[in-house]
Amino acid sequence: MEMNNTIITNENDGWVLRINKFWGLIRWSLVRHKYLLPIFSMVQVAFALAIVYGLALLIPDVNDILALYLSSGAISLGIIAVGCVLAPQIVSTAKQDGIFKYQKTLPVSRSLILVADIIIWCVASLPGVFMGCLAAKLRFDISLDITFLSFLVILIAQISMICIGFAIAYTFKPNVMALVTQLIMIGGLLFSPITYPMERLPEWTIYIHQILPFVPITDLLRSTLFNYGVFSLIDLIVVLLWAIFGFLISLIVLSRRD
Amino acid sequence: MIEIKGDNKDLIINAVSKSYKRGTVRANCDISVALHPGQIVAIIGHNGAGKSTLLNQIIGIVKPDQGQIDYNGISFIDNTKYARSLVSMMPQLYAPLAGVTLRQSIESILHIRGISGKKNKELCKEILDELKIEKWADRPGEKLSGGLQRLASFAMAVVYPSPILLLDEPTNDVDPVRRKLIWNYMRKLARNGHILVVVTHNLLEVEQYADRFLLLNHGKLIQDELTVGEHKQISSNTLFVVMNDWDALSNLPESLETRYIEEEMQVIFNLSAEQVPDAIAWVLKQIHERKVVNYRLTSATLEASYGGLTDGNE
Repeated sequence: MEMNNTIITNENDGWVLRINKFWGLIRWSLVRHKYLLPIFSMVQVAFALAIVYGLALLIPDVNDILALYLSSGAISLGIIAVGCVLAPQIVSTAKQDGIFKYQKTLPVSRSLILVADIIIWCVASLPGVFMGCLAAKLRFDISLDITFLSFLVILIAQISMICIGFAIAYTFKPNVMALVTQLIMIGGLLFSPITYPMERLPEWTIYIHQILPFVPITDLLRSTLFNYGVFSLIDLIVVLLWAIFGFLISLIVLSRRD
Repeated sequence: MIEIKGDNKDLIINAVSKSYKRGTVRANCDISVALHPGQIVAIIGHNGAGKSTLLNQIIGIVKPDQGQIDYNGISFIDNTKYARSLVSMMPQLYAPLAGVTLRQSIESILHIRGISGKKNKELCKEILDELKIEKWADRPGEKLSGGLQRLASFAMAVVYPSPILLLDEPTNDVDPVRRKLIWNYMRKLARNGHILVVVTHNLLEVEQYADRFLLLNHGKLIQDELTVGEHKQISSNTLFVVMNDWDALSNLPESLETRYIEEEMQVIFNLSAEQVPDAIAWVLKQIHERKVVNYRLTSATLEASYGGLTDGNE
């Protein structure tokens, strides 16, 4: 073994080195999750089909508006499921396996660790988005408005949900994390106007859903990708604030020293 | 960029203390020590003595309540990013290997350290060859034995030669052949000017391979000794005697120190070279009278002195 007597270290990395390190983090995250990604893809496909085809069976007369709600809801719930249920479960397991602590010893900034994982999870939630779009097209023959803005909204929705999921996983113990993610999913499926219009819920719930990010991301998706409803800047701000909040909480926990 | 030559770059730990639960649980207390390049320093002590805490304080995962850790004139406590750029750590638990092969793990760490392309492959192959673990290189981490997972963790820590290497129980679960390879590799790193700090419970390995040991007891540094050279301070002979009849202890030979462990029916004599013949004669006589079950004379005495220095309670 040949080793240099001179040891070069990099306190202030150049941009090329930083990019290399970041790419290294993404690669590591990818190889760690590579067995999970196909499983997640299958789950999301089943989930999208269940909403578009399964929920439609419960409703005898699906009109055009309801078809739009089911289709946009399938995509939205897929993104919520990956970001706020699957991601926290996997991150929480990683925390128990020691990855969380090990990552803290690596010579990279905490924010880059988070960004690398967010990128992998964004990729992980893409099959659900794609399948939701395909199911909408096949089942209801809905034409999608694929524009830069709709892409951007999908990306923001993914990032926002993943950041919230990470914050849940990093902050709570596994049993509490499991409870919170279940609450989000039950709330999202049953008590949020994601797959049905807001008018069906009591008026007071509107205020709650305006503050929480789940309905705003669905409204944004509906207004851009399905060209139904008005694009709301307030919805966008709410979603972005939740993304920032989730990211900051995760960053604080990841940076915290015992 | 900081360039560190292998001379006069000590890691200075000064009066470091840490406690948890509002001061009721003390992890370590007032630890001061200078760690030198070229030296393998073993940290020993009972479970919960604060060994791992000290490593975590050096790399910046744990913040001391007081004290300083400086390297090259810069505080590791105030600048954890700087610490992480100069320190590689092998954790007490296995490095995360689930779903990742040994080769992928090592290559990933090199990528994260900024080494890519041909150099990455070369360094990875080099460490796999050095530790003789090439044939398991493409096996997923969860399918590796405990010893191989430990070797993988070690490889991930040392494959990029950081100036300071912190290794928490690197030889646990590892077979005797590869234990030696691990220590030999550490020796090469030390010769190249790295600071090596090794937490271990294997006192025989400490005596055989480390240059110096720090003994922690309930978070306090109670002994800081060289294991080699003219300043070696471990006494040179120890006689362990297991008695058959505890009440039959009489006419004991002269010794520097005698310790009695009644629950193990054991007497331990620390002996000077001149005292050894008389002690052996005494043992043989006791064997003849069937008062001694067996005995062992050794020059490795850290194990013997360890019990006397610590109270062994966790």
